Amino acid sequence: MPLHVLICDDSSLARKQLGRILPASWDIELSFAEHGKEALELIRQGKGELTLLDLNMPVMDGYETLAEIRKHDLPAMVLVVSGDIQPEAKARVLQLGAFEFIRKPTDVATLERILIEYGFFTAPEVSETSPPTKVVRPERGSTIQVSQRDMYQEVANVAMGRAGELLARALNVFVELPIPTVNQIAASELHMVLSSVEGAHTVSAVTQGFTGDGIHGEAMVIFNDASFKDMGRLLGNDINDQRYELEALLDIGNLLIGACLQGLGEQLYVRMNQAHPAILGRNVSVAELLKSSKTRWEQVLAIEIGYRLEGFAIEFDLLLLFPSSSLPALERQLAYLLEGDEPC
Amino acid sequence: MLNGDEMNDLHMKMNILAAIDVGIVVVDRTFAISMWNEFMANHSGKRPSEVQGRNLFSVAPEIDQAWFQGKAKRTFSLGSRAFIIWEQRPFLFRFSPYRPVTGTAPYMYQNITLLPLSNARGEVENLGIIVYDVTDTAEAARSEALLRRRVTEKPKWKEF
Repeated sequence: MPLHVLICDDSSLARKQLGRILPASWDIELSFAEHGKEALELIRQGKGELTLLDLNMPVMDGYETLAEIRKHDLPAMVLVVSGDIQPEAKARVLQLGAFEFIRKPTDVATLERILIEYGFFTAPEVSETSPPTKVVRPERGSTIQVSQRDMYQEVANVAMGRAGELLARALNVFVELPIPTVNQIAASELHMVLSSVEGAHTVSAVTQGFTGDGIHGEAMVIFNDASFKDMGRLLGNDINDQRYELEALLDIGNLLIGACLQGLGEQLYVRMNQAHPAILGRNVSVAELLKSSKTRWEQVLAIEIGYRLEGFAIEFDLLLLFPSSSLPALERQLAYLLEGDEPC
Repeated sequence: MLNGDEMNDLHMKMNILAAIDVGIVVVDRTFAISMWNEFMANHSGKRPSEVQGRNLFSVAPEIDQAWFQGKAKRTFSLGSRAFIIWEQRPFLFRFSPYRPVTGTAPYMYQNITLLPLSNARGEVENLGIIVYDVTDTAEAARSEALLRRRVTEKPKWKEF
């Protein structure tokens, strides 16, 4: 009897990637779900004996799904595959009953090791006398169509997770990770995508240029000014020092932008060069902050990530901006990610 | 042993490291200096042999120790690079400006990059401090801000 395996992830790229790296000789029946609610339905039909579950999803996220499975004692062993790699996230899902936690993007070896360790899969024996039989890799998930937007979103998701983890370690807090939004807009409309700081009276921001392998972009961190008091305290800066706001802004900018670009670079197989950060504006309105970018680039790809720290009045936006001239290079690198093999 | 080609290559790289107009300092977790390039030697007047193995804060007492240790500690523990810009602190090392005659700055403004340097096992053991001279940029920004203030301020008639 084949094992019923379910992959639950809102990103079509993640579903496709995971489907492809499942061991080829594994006798399973595979189903897909886009969010927790859909997953629960399939699990109730017995289709999720082993469920690979993402955490950050719309409609019903991974935490709620795990809680439901436990509450109704549903037949599912859950392996969490997440871009959110904070130690606290791992602790929470294990406590909710998941048996293991692996980070995105995952690879064949890691997944296979865990499947073997928990007895879901036995590696085929390689006998030295008979030549190894060539296993035809079933094209699992090959029918899944991945849109350009889905790819950007998933790549941002993983990069955001890296940044969140670093932030959590640096500040010893739990970072609530949102679902990144991807927009292709005119530079003059940038202020419209800033969800996290839209209610802010005034904001402060730093921006940092980066470049690698034909991909140019800017990473921007925008702070709600109301967050500075809590932030300075968390960072252990001297809040009587007049410079503490600037210090907090740059410390957080360093952490988030650095980790995010590293996560982005790893997925795109690009090592980025970073310029020094530049202060975009201090204690100004959102509209004023971005006014100088109005005449530049016609269109930009904007990935917006709104961070909140649990238990604190701290809100800030991380914005990754790519001018349209960078898109061909970006799409070329993303194609490697979709194909699943590294460029030579 | 290195062969002739490798020696030449190494020699060339050392020449570039020496001539590049950027300061390079490497310290370990106890802030003992293990590298001090020519830029640093020339601007500070302290030769590499003088500072080798010495504590960074005794070589450069102008550095705000608690503040810098905080930044360095984070770079060590998180393994991610950090940037310090002149708007935060005008300089890390107090150097004279490059143009002693026509320059107007009292000191060399600096942007700093802190690089975590890992060993072959991937552990971060050393910290690279890269020092960029940004005096011209800083001076331009300061004089622009001054000008802007003069233009927008209401004239003080009393002063006339």
